[in-house]
Amino acid sequence: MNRDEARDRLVDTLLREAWGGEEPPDLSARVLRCAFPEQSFFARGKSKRVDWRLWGPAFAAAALMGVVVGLWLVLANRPDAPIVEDHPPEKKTLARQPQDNPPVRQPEVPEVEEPFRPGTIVQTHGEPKKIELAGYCALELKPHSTLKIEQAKGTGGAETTQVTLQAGGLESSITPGQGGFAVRTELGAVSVLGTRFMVKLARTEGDRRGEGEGQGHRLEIKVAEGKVKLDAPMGDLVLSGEQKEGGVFTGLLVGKDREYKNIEVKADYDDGVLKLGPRWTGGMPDAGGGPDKSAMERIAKVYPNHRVRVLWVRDEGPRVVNVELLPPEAKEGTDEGRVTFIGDAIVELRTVDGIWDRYAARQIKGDGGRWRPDPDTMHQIARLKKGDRVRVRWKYGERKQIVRIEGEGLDAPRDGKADPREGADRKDWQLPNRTEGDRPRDGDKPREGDRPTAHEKKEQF
Amino acid sequence: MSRDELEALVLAHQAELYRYVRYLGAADATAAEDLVQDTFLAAFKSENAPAAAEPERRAAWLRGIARNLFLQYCRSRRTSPVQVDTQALEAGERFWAEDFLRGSDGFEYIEALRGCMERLEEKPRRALDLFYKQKLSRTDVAAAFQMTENGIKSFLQRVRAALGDCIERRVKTEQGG
Repeated sequence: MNRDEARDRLVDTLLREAWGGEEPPDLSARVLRCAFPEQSFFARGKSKRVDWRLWGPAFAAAALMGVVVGLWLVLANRPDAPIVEDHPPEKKTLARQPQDNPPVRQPEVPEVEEPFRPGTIVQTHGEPKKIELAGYCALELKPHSTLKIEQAKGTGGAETTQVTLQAGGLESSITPGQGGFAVRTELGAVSVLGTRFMVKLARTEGDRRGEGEGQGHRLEIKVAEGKVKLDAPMGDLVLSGEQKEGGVFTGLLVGKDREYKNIEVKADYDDGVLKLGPRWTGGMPDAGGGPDKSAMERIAKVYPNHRVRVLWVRDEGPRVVNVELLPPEAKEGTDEGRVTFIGDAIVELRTVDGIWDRYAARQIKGDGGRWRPDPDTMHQIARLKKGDRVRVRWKYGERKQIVRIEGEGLDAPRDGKADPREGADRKDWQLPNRTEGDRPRDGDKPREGDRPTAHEKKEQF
Repeated sequence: MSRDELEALVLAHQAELYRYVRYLGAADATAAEDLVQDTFLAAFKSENAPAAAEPERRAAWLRGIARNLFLQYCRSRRTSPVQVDTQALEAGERFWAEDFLRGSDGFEYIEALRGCMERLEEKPRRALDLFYKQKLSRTDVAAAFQMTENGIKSFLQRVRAALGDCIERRVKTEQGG
């Protein structure tokens, strides 16, 4: 290997890391399991050949035991994990169980609540609850929260203490140098080493019961001391120093400037419009500093009237770290809510769960084969006013398109407005077809109802 | 070596070792992880580990174990991912220690690379994006650029060489050279 070849390989390796995201993994737990197998029941490093002559009878015995225990559990109708709650026993419910379908038999609450063993689910209602785990994790579970203890350091060979926050909020104080601590949520895992911080998870009621689409989420992290890392599917976030607040939230993108420096989002469960820009990186402008290019690239790929998920951090103001489109999980569905905005061929609702979304009139082929909004849907939209409660049946193509809309105010014309279909001239109410010359110019702020340009579509799909 | 000592050793050196075995030519991330794990297990069983107070010596010792394991790994495969022998690996080690680490942990080199990447022009940036970020094969990247596979291979090599030159210039400037 000559010098040039060595340098080429090194740059190749570093590019895989810096550009391709192939970062060195944490192998400590894996190595320790192999080096000290006797301390872990599930000790297994690299796969090794199994001697079935030795293990066969043991597995058979274990399987038999499993069947017996399983039958006993089914017959006894017991939950697989203890549930600890802070309210009177008669109100006990299983986590994620529909409230209108109560369990046949309520689980028993252990009289002794601590120490919490792995698998324990802790629920709070009106009051917060203090929990201590592994001798170094002091937690306060906020009211109306659900937490599952996954593992505690020192129990069953566990290296760190881990919990899953299923709903609500959690404030943690971790003694430095004692061990790792991680809070998992559906939106990402928050890991810390010696710090005080708060995690709050918001979800829709339907989602909490395991019935919803799982589309509305918010994860907030506030760091009081030390450093916290959020490991989320859309990116990592390290909170410390000047940037002590951040997280992930979902919402409706309602505005974006053409230079991709700012977006305006209506965050789920919140009122008002939140304006976010990219972080400033690289120092002063004369030293090459400027808005975070990576965030601007992400902003370029989302466009108004769509639901988005935002990874953000507070740095003087709220800053975008990453933003991505959030298509619905199903291709069609029905939403119900109050009308909050009416645009050109678009209606915005705030659903009963507190989620913002926009629905476009479906496109049909008109004379000459040109696509245009369906006149019947346009007619219905024209009759709506803010505050009306409506139900929208939709299908998803590039966006949610209205199949049927029904509810208040749709039975008769409002405010003396004439039914547009009654007149011979429909120009008053039809959405004007925009020509190439009408396209927004760079620097223009997009108008409500702007459709993505072909370039934007290409970038997304 | 106690459990705590092994954990401290792994946490201190795993990132560099992973990078190192990828640099030597480990075919993919899984192979690299296995090699790093075996390196630490061999170190765990060894009685010749340098003291924890000498981290550079420890790192060099671990890299030596990793090189031997990598050689065994290549010999155990019918088709080796790269042509390797002891001399080639020693040459690779010299470049790693003298040009990349420079008595430190390579942070300076990595930071210089980040700076150079920001100044890349559109075409090389797009090629790197397709190959490294989107992980397209050379054939697909070649098709995207309407080039032959050999052509895109040479192009990527030239981009890496340009980045290497840029890094060395930056590192020298940082050192006041």
